[in-house]
Amino acid sequence: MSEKANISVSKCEIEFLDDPKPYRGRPVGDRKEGIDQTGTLTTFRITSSDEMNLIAGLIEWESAEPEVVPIDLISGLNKHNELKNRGRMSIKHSRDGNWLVVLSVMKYNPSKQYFTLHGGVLEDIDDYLGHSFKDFLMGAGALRFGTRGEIDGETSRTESQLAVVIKPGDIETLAIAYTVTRPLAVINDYGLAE
Amino acid sequence: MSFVLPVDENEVTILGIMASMEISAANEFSDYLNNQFGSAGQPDWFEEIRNLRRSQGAPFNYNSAKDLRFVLNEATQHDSQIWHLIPNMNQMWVNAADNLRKKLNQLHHQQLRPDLQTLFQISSLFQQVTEGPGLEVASWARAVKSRVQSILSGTFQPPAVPGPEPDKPQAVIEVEREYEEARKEIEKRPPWGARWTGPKPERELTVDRHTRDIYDANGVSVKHELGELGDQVTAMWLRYFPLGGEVWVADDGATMAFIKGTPTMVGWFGPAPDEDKDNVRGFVLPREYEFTGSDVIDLETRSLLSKNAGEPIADHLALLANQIQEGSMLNITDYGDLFVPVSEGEPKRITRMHKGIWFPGQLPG
Repeated sequence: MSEKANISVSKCEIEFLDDPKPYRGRPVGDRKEGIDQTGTLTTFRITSSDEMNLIAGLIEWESAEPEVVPIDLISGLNKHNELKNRGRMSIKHSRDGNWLVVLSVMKYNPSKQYFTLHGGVLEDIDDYLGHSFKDFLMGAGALRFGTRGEIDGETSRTESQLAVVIKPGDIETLAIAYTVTRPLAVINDYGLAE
Repeated sequence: MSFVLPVDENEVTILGIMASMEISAANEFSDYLNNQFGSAGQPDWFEEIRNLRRSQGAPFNYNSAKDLRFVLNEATQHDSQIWHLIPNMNQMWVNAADNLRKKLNQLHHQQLRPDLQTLFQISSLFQQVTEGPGLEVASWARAVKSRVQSILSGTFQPPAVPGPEPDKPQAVIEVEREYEEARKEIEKRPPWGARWTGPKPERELTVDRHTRDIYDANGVSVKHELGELGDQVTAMWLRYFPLGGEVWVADDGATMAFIKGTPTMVGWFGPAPDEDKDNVRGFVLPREYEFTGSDVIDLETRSLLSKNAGEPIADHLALLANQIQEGSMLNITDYGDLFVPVSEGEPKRITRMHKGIWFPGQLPG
């Protein structure tokens, strides 16, 4: 059991599990062409007020970008199944050598009738989180928060993406970012018209 | 009696303030009128008024001049002996007194939710009716209003060490006890769209938003168990629970689902148990409405129900037109029970509304 304290995120609770352990698999971002490789896995459990029990983890690959992925949905409602196979959170290296996480959000897609990843809209996230997402991440240890243009000098078509820069391996900030943009968004039926 | 001010949203404190204010106002009014009538050589004025009203065949259910409902009722009669004794008496005072009587009646029927908004509303009415004769309650009511505004705006800092618990008259203790019973009853089976606070029921079903059918754990449809109510029940559940999914049904049919992570009452598997009765359930929303003869107007926003309801409302408006007079005041509870407020006795439910056919955002869910 990790010595890190649990973190409450609105209707969810994050519990950090084992210390990093070896992991063998195929990076989700590389699934089509990639081959199995080794990495280290750091896991955390997210439980919610509506009975979800999801294990997710940060995988730091030998030769691929790190990523946060769902590992096992132990229990939950039917709608939590949406989190089993979708919602991988990719991590890139920022220009100053830290980690840059694009804050896409699981949002209900009325035409597909399931949740898919969409670009994060800060006002919407603050609304279902119940307070400032930016303040929450910065308070947890994030280095910079804003659009990729603002925080990493990005000038391509992705410059307006909402993102956060963190210290490499900062599992607590990553777990908060993942929980808010994936499980909490699904729990709150984000995108479902009333 | 000490003049207590709220320091937060504690329901028991708020309820105690409302009930204590009523007792203080009643005592002060009684003393004031005793002095006025005593100076005029009418020490038995209460008995004289009682005899007069009974000789007129009017109902008179008051045992003492220290019943505020008596003062408020008597002062608003066209032939009242009290009317000319109250300084600055005018139609506004009469309206406020009439409104206060209705609110106090709701308080005594456990229909007034003791929250800060309601406390502000009732303090305003107390201030209006007690300022003219210069009663101390008027200053108390003014201070309560000011404190409520500070709490709501976030500028009030509660004291680090709470003050001593004030002595409470038996009547206040009784009001608090009755409220606690009403609250427990409501918690057991809350209004549609409100938080479910009891244990999760055992029977798990699934409502599918696409097929609009209800299935058991084996995927077998159980909608037929509802007979002709099937579509109505499914529509009600999905009104509060648009994504659909798992619901849990209690032995009496009360149904809960997790909505945005919160266990929520979404309706009944079958008819609601009190559907065929006309009693009013729940707490009255702190808003006033008027029936125009063909529509319902929210007196705070001046908006019309027909222009704001999310679902067709014509049948309900026709029902109101059949049952109540144009110009009737209306109140609604968090259960959606719509009724004409009364100053004495139990109000009767005219119809039950839900969030789809009421002003958006006012009913739970």
